[in-house]
Amino acid sequence: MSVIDQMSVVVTAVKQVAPMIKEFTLEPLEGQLTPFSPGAHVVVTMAGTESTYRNAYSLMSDPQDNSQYRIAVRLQETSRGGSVYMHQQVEVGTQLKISPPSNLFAPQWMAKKHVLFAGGVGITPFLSYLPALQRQQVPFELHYMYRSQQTGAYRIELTESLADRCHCYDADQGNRCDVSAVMSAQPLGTHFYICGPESLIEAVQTTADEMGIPPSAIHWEAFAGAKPGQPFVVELSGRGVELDVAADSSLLEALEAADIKIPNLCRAGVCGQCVCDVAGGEVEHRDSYLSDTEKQSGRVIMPCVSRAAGERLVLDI
Amino acid sequence: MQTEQLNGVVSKPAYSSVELNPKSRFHLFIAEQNVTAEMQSIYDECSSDKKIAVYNDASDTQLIESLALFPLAGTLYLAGTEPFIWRVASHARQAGMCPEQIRMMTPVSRERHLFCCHCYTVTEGVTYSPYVCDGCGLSLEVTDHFARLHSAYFGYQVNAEDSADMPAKREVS
Repeated sequence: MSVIDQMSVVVTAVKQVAPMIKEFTLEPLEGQLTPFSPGAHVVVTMAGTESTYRNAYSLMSDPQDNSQYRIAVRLQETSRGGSVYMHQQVEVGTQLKISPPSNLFAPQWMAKKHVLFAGGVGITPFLSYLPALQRQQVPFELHYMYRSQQTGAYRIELTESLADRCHCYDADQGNRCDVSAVMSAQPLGTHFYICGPESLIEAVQTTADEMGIPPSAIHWEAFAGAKPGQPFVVELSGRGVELDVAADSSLLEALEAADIKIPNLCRAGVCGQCVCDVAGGEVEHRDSYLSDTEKQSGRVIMPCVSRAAGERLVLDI
Repeated sequence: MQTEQLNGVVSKPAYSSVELNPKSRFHLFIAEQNVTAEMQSIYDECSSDKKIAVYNDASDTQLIESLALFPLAGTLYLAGTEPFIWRVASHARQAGMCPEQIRMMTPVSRERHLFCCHCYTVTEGVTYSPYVCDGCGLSLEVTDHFARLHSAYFGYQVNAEDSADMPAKREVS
């Protein structure tokens, strides 16, 4: 695994696009950015005063535009620091480091039709889908659920440009999306994509299962990164080192803070890059990468989201 | 559908017993020439919306038409020779079906289609190796490298280096 270089960017615009969401335009300090594929994200490194935050954000600009990237950040009520940093510390002129784009949520190009379910700030990866789907002239529908007092960014622009292909549901106005009605009316070859809270992903998965829609036609990206937990101690058996993992820090962040480099792409328990061998202690698995068998074995952990179940964990590093 | 490692090649399909998909809203059974006992028993077990079709020398147009009204929540069951079931499966994928919607039963014969990498002819009814290509007449090694899009195994000239060096004939499974 090669070390992926960080790219330096400067913030050239900040826009409040919903009560809780800010949009940031990033331009390269030198050279050009790379084009990317729809659904790609970058990991933004934020050098805070107390700790360094790294959060993954979907690229929402046109994938063919290499002059700038745009991301949107929702201020999280239970933020571990990253979204607060983006909202309070980052302004026009701020320099940031970002990873090159990687993609764990690309469209299925063989699909006959795409049905997109977006919840709140989960609209962002689909904003990079739309130019590509429109160029390909493949049928699609966007179902956008939000609370207008918090989220709902871009709904006016989307309604104007997509007309009847965009369906908006404002929970603050009492409008709800009937997921099963949307899913039952679709033809063979339809693929479904969900980006939003766990509850929305589960609702679509459950509906698909009940209707007999094949599981491989369902694709999702949860935007929840690491959630806090109990503090614990991690021992690195290969190095004879012990590290404290604070309640609001992930195991991966604690390792990185000790200058231990672990390959990673998504920081959300999806991509599988950061897997570590466990030599002792119980694991509280929170990822969606490892199989149930691997989780039960207790011998591997995804340190980006998972934690020790007890006070102590030994990693074979 | 799984693949297993045979002769160092991982693309030869391995078939396991097929079960009814209880979640499915519609079940389409397509058989080549005869409905096999395995297919008949799954068909009989199925109590929801179902249809069965038997083909002799089906054209591609016929096969595509038979899949035209297939719903998103349907399952396709296939029985027949390996080239036939993969040909139907290829049309099914083109129509938008996901892999788990296509259930293939163990082929009724071990006859293979053999693709010649020299003249691109597909020779049918191949049961042993080396086998003479219908197109160019070369003796071809019949490999276990299976092309899903063409429903055929890859063949190359077995004695290209030395025409006198002809390996012993062996049956292919």
